[in-house]
Amino acid sequence: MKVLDLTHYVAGPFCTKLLADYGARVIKVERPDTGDPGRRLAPFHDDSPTSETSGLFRYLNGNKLGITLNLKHALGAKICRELACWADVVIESFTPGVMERIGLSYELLSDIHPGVILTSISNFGQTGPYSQYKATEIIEYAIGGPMLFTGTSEREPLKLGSRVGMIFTGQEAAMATLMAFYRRMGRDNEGEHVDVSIMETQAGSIDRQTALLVNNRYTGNRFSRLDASEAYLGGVYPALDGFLDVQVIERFPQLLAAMGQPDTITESEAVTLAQFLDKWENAEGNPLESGDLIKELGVMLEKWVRARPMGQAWAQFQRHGTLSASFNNAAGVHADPNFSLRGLWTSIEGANSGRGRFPGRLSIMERTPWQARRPAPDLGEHNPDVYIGMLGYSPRDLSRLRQMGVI
Amino acid sequence: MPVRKLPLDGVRIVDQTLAWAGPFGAQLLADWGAEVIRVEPLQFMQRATRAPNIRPFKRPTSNWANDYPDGIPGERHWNRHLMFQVHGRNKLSITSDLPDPDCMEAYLKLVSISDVVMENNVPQTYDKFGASYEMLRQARPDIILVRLPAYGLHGPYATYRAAGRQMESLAGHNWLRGYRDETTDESRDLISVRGTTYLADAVGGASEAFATMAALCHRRATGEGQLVEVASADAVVHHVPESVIDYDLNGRIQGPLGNAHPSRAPQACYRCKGEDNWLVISVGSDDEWSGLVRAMGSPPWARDRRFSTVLGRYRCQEEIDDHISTWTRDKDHIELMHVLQSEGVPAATVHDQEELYNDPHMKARGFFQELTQPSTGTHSYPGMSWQMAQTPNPIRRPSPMLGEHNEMIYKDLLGLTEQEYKRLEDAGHIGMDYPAHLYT
Repeated sequence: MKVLDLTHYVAGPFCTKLLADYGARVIKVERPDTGDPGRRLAPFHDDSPTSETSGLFRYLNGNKLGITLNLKHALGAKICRELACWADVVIESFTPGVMERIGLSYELLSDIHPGVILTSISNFGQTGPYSQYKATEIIEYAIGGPMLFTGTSEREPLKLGSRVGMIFTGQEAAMATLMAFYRRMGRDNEGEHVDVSIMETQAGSIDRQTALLVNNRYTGNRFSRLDASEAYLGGVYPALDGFLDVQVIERFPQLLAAMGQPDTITESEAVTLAQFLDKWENAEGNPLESGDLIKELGVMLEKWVRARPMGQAWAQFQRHGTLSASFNNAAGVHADPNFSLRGLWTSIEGANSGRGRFPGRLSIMERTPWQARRPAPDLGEHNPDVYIGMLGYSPRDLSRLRQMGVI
Repeated sequence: MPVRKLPLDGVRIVDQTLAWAGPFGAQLLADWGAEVIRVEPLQFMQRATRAPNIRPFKRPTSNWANDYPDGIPGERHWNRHLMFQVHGRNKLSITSDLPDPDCMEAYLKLVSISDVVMENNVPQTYDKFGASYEMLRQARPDIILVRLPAYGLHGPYATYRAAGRQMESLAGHNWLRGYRDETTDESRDLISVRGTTYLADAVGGASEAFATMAALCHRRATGEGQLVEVASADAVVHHVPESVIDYDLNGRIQGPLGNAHPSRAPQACYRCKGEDNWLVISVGSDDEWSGLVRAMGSPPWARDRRFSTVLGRYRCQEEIDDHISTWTRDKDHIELMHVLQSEGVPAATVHDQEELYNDPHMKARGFFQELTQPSTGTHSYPGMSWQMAQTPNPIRRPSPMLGEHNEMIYKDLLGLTEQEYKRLEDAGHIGMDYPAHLYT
């Protein structure tokens, strides 16, 4: 699969990264001089920002070839069309309308290169009243995702961590692109214009927006943030040497067994916490309201975790089937034996950027394993390979193009 | 425009997924044309799949993930619970109790005419079904088996139980979410982590579907099937790369930023007129700042020289946030979004569910689609996660009832005789009801 990558920042580059990681030949096009603005995203190697030291850029752009090309220059757009004819797939993340203005619309591309697949990633999609609206990750989570439901009712709605919405969109765009490509592999010359709206990837996500939306239609309820005081058993507890996340929604007797509390509660037939509370509230002579009981159980749980090493408490809960996990910060993720032993990490070194231990393979594929073929390109690194080697320009053409500000 | 077949037309998938993540991955493939056949046990209910529990909830509940149309469980509540209705569309359902030998024979027959098998059980649970990659390959040499464990098929935590939240805790995402002032070195009891909104299920499901597509393309090119393993926790790490890379490059441990951005400011969520109405604004460049100042009517405070550069605004963001909050408090959140966008400022309301259904942009793009399902009635549902401009794609069928397609698949597709079918039925493997003693 040959991919012409016109994307920038995070969502688009993650999409083309996944394709490159599993074997596609990807040529990444950046504007001359400044390059992909993603090159200016932290973190940088040794906190020293240069165009080659953004760790995030290098993570997002490994396994790609990199060239510079000014698409706003008429000659640049013409060369871009040549490259599009080489490619099976063109992927872009401009504001809708830009591709038309520089002569790279789907209609035009499919005229000169029938069967081409164009994947467009944009904030709100190629059509509709918001198509020119601006957005960042938090904007998309607010308008399309379940932000109203994230956080606590006492405070403002909250976004998720980092730029997860953008990465998620990139992944869906990669999958959509492969679907169109799969169809083309089977039936000649069926091109496609894949229209990925970040807002729609948020609104269509099972975490937890689709459930909230369907529930609203079923019941008319409006779902906003929960109270911090809402009866809930579990939390993130400090252990002797780390934090443990414990969540109790089922297997309630097993939790008590794990903590060595065999009493009448343990012998109860209740399987889930909700069923237990039902029984508790309906039984005669129970001194506590179920909310207070939950609080009391929470205190007991916390005390129990506090007195133990994290790994030991975790293993004990797991033996009894209680949902639980090490609550890691980045150091913990790097140190975790499960990620390391299973080969999540890769070490990548670039000539101008230093070495880094990055997340490497995503899935483990028996026949088509992930490969680190090359580090992310320095700005314009592969201009000679692509313009001279592939498109047949001469070294003199190249320096002329450079003087004209085309590359 | 000639009507095109959906891209995955002709691909048959045996779907043994459960809960949220696996079914979401299968949904994305079903949405784009794959014939996804859910193979569901009849002797027990898969956990958190057709409903959280085989016993219907009797008392009314305000739980977001736990309801039926009009709050009524009704007959066969597993066909009415929203949990399944959010990811079941475009799929078929048959029942089968593996590893019963008769069921296994029919299952392997189905595998022999399928392209992909998908599952996301705890690894040892899948083994208990009695199937293995080797067995599937004997039935269909080029089969693609896609497995989505929480932490891996092998490794120290292979047998550990986890829901989405645990995978996110292990992978470091939960450390990064939360209000900025919510955590201390001693306490990490994040309310935001306590069980409302997760990430791992969507990420796991999408990773699973992407890997399936990569394997399908490889098979179309070479004829080779393969075993694919996607661990959800691995996928979550890939969604928070900044944090793990910053630690590796600079030894820095990033904490929660709340709604702030590492380099843009002001960026926050501001209260507007009404009970629980909010607006998010995200300003980075000088142009966006000027647009915001214009939209606010160029108030004197905004002329402060400290606010004239990106860095200055970053340093003074709390002060600026206070000013913006005062401005938004008595204004309509939806109107403000459009005012700000017309000035070139990234801004949006925090939509509630009703507002999203009524959003004119979503309407113009036809995102929501009405479906009629015999057991739930007629409702509007979220549609496709993306569009293909050359291939209009309405939802083809609503979520199947349990065992709805038994006859069609067992008799018409697999060629079971009446007698063979009846034997499975009499043995309690084929049907549309779980055994009554489980839920009455």
